[in-house]
Amino acid sequence: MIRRKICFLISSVILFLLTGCWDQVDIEERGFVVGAGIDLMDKKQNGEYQIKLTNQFVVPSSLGTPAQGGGESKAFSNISATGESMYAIDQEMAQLTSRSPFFEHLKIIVISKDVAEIPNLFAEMMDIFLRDPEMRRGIKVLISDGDAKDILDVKPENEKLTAIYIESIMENSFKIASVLEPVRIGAVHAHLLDQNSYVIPKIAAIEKGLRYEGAAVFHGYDNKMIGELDGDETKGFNLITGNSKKGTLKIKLDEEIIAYELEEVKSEIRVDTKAKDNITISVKINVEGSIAETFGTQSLLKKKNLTEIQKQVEKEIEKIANHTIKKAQEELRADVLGIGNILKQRHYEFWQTVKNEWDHGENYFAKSKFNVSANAKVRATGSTNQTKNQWSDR
Amino acid sequence: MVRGSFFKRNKDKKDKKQEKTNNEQENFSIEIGKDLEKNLDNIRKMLDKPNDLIIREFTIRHSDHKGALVFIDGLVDKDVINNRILLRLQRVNERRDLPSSDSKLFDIIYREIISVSDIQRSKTLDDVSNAILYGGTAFYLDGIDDVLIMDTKGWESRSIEEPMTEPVIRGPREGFVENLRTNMVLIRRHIQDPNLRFKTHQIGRRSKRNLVVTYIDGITHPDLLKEINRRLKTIDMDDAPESGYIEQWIEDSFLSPFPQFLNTERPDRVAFSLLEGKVAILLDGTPFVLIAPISIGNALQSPEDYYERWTIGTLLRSLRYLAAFIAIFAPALYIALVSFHQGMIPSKLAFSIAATRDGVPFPAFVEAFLMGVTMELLREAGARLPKTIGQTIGIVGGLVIGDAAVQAGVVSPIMVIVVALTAIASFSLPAYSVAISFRLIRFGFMFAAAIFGLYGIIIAYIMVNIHIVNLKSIGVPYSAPFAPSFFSDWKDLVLRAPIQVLTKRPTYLKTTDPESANKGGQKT
Repeated sequence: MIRRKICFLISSVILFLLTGCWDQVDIEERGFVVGAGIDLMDKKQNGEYQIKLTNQFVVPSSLGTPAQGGGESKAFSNISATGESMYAIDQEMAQLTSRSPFFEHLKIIVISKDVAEIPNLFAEMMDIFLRDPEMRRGIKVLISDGDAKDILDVKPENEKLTAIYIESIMENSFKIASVLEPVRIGAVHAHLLDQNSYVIPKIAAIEKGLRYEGAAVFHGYDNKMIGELDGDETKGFNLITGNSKKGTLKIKLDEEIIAYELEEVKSEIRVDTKAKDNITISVKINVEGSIAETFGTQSLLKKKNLTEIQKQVEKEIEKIANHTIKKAQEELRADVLGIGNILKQRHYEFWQTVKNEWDHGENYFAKSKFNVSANAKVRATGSTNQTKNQWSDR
Repeated sequence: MVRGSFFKRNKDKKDKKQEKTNNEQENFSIEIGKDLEKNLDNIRKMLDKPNDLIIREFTIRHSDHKGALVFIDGLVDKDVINNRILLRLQRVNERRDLPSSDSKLFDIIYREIISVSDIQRSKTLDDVSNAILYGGTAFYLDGIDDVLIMDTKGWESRSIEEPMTEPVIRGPREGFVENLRTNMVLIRRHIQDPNLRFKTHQIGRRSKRNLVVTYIDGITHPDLLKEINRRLKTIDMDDAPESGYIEQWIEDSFLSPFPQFLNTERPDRVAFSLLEGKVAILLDGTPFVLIAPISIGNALQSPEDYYERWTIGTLLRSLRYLAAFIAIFAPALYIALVSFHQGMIPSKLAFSIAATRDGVPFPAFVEAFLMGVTMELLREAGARLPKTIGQTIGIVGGLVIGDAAVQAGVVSPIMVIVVALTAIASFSLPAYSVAISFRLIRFGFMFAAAIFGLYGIIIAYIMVNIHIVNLKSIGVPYSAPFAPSFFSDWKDLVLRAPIQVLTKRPTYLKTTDPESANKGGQKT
């Protein structure tokens, strides 16, 4: 009896020791993939597309510790491979590098415009990033003007890794209103599953660096990229959706430029659903801000000047917002502003009648009427009142 | 065949020796007769004439009554013998007439002449031998078969100094010593309650040490005492030189890595535990006093928490729980994260670890294990060396060897940091026996982490948890204030509530005192 117990004990110990560590891969043998770029190679006869995937692998020894310091060499290495399905490309790439690819630290995915403009290809590319359990839902997605590989090849000056550089540009962009908040792949998943149109930030490679500005507009129904919003239009977009945190507006007071800094933006959208052809949408934008810079000489303490500035800001906001709405309705003919969602939340029965033709077909969205009204307040004027006085006549 | 005869030969020798001692021992009787010479001979034969056995024969003055004092030199205080016993017996006739009958003389000597405070009459040789071997003096009178046994202890012993294993920053600096009586005195000075009881047991066949069970009648639960006394009666061995022997004989689970008794050198800790309802066990010859029953919360407590104010006490206690966590889990977590779950480490740290581990030849587990073993070796070495060199070895070992190993590329610097942090954390635990048991568990967790990663750590933790919950210390559950949950005891567990709020004794000890420990402050 005791012999059986001992045998049992020994065999269970051996079982644990032999089977447990098959998942063990030491950290220096992993190839950390930190950024991925997707480009279009060409189209094959049977309708499938040849895709080029570029993975940015980290070379940790060049990163070095702060004490030892890194070398002059690049801290990353971009490896590209082509194929039809992303998974097949990944397998092929495993043969090109000595370390097994490890995606748990993936930070950004850059997709070139060519891929995004083909119907359904963008969604197909996203599939592996959503399905693989190694990927996380916090990966950020970007659309690039040129080749995604060129974006990943840029060697930044302050950071060692391009992907980290791009990520910090996106996170630190809150001072500018003309860029979007970073879009995570979890949000893209939600957009892909319902029919609404959405925007994804855009990035472009300029000489010696990257430019992060603007947005790419995706049509929900057609499932492809249909257009872009440039900097100003993105600003209007942020104002209407109330998403922007900070930003600057340029106004003129007595022919002198004043820069007004937005601190708080709140927008209220109300839809008046009288009939399908006669939808009125009123957008009220309330902003509060401070005066960042003036070229003029007026004293900002006078109430008359402040009211004038507020009025100018309101006019500017309405102008920008109307410009964006016009672009969305006339050029893009897609509901990027989220009006459809509001209808779905607040006017559900009405939404059921229009949802099949909301921004395609009949396109009730393009036929709706928008009323934008803004309300601005100046809360602070900085540390000084007047910085100079005007003596001569000009 | 050879083996058989080999052993047989030894047995023959042993038998012969046994016979010889038996014969000699048979030569002295266990009775005390009336003849003085025979009695003294008896004692000489019993102890086989050691040269520190002093037998002082004398006559009581102006009479022909003969008497003798028997004691062992070195154990007795010769001053007391010279001045209080011998002197008085030799001058006894100065002012009075002595009765001539032996028994009446004996009586008068017992009651009126010898001026020693601790004196007894006895008839058995057993008492005499016990007394002499413990620093007493025996007085024989020719013609009487009684002896007088006097307590004249006066051996060399250590003076009271700060306990070496439990220094505190604020608090009394007295520690127990090897002398049982002094230890009892130290406890009595803390608690002057007449309900404080000391019950004596004798442990050991050949060493006959005194063991004292201390408790406060009326606070301690009677079942607890019954159980402890019952367990003490099961001890039957030659000698118990340290309370560790006692602990190992009467503990509940000898396989558990956790100690079920607390041992301390500080009287204030003992007094505090007695007032909570615990029992203390003092053993003659060792400054370490056992306290039972304990729970896992007690293992991480220190009397210092109560001497400072409650915010500091709370901070120190939480720090200790954090230190216990680090001491047990840090190397295991490192192994699990670096070998299995690299995605859980923040990116920059992950890249930096990968960079520094690039040239290291060993996998993470082997590295951690080697460094752990090296740290244990250094610690043991440092404990054996004299104080001055011991400190240097610690620093030399830690810094130089660690640094050299990193430079040689044998271990990665992160490993050195983790191991050093673990060592420091385990030093900050107040009870040494608990720290040792954590060291053991740490290696177990490292194995579990190396095999199954984070899942292994969790499984191992569940196993340890089940073990702790099932463990009992003299019948009291080891995980007591945590589970079963006595919520009113949680004020004194991880936090230390202000002293105005700590009014009740711990519930899990089921104390029988209806009044509370402090009444929450008087209103003036």
